[in-house]
Amino acid sequence: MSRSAQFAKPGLALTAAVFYVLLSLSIKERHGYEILKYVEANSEGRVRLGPGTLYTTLKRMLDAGLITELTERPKLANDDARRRYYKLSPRGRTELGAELGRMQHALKLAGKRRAPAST
Amino acid sequence: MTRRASRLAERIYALLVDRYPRRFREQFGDPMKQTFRDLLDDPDMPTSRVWLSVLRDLRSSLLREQLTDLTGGRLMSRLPFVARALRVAVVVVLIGATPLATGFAGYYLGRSQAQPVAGSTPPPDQAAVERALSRLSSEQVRWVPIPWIACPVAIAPGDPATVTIFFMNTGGEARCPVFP
Repeated sequence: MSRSAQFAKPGLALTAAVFYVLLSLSIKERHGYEILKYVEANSEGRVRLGPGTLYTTLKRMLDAGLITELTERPKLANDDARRRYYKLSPRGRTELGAELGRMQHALKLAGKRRAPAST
Repeated sequence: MTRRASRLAERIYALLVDRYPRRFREQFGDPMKQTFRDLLDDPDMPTSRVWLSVLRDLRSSLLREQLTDLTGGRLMSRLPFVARALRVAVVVVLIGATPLATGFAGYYLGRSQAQPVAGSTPPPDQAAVERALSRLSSEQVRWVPIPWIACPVAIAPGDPATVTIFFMNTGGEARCPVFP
């Protein structure tokens, strides 16, 4: 199994960086810096990406087919030609849904464990 | 940050981007430089934090991309066993080289230092490291992201003796435990 296929194997937990990038792109298409800011703000500073780690992560996600690059860039003021825009692929959406499901399940289990102690 | 300082920072960053493998650079070099520029222009982002994130990048992504390039080329993808063996060899060399390099540096620096004071704290042994690690599983800890260095962890509550441990979570971020 190739590295990228192994990375996107359904049922495997995603890394924190990949999870937040998927989450950021599930809302709208974004360029690198927007993704970086979203990840930092929404992880409350727990996940901080620099330009290098961001694009290393994006490369792995592109290879795994979790995201795709936009061929037509949005027409925006103050945009730079060097910026690349990314969007979630159907596979990425499935993986994100699976991860959120896993989290929900874990929360449910944790809630059940805590319940007897609190009563 | 002045325009001149910003341009200098961009030039330095461009030199660092050149250290990435050619294929990676061709695909992501320009967006990386643009992202760096956006970070510099961000009023909420102090310049020191921008450079800290760049240093973190060098530690993780640069090494990772160089290794991937070394072992994941077209030839290597046809020979996965060789690629895997080469990857293991590189990791072994890196693991072996680090204590050797620090040992040499320590020896060189130590030659010009005074003799150790009698009765000073002995270096932590494996048992101390294990005791510090067992605290992490038995006590409530808060994890704080750190930019670069290793963490001093107290061996026992109230004990001033510490051991230095390097933690990294699966997301590739270094963190230090803080006991309440």
